[in-house]
Amino acid sequence: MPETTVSFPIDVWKKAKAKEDLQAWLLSMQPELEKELQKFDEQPLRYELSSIDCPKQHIPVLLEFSDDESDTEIIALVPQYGLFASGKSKEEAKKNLLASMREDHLRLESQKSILGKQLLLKLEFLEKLF
Amino acid sequence: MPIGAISKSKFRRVLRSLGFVEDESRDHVYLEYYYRGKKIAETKVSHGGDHDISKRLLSYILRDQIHLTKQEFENAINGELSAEDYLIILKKKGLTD
Repeated sequence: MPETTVSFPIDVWKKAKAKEDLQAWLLSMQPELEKELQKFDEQPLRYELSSIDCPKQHIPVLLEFSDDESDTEIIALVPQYGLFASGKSKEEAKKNLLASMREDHLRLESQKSILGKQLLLKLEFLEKLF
Repeated sequence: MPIGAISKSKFRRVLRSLGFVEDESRDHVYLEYYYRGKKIAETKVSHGGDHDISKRLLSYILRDQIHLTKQEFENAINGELSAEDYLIILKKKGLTD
């Protein structure tokens, strides 16, 4: 079965200077996104842009919701870096994401010398936030 | 049958079968994959709680942290994807360079 989630291209993420830039990209991608989700997943999803305050930076995050009434989970994520967390409300999801990123930062920083390239990229991103 | 939510214990068991090792912290169990002394992949599950890992959260874990498609993970659940197969997948994706 193909993947049911759609990648947020790293170049789009890096070039975005404000959440409006990401919003514009999402809107431009919306037809393809909906097509993908309808094709591979019975569960339609919605996305909303939000942001969180990290000690060094205020960063945009994506919130994912399901239209399925039985699925009340909200996922907050920073695409491409494997940073995500869930919660029962938008605020809880964002709070959990911030806590998860802080924990990941401390852990990866202490293991820097043994990290593969993917995890090093993740650490470099987190070092700009904490 | 397509995968949906999965229990934390089953998820940990599947990842161990692929070569992941566990490291417990105060709040989480980290599952780490090493190749030639480098940590290539990592994910974590929280301690306690009866909650399964949801289908949607699992999608992100697989794509962004474990680097497997749902089909490949399903194969791992069914014992049809070995640790050797997983390493080949990581190599093909250039993650072990």
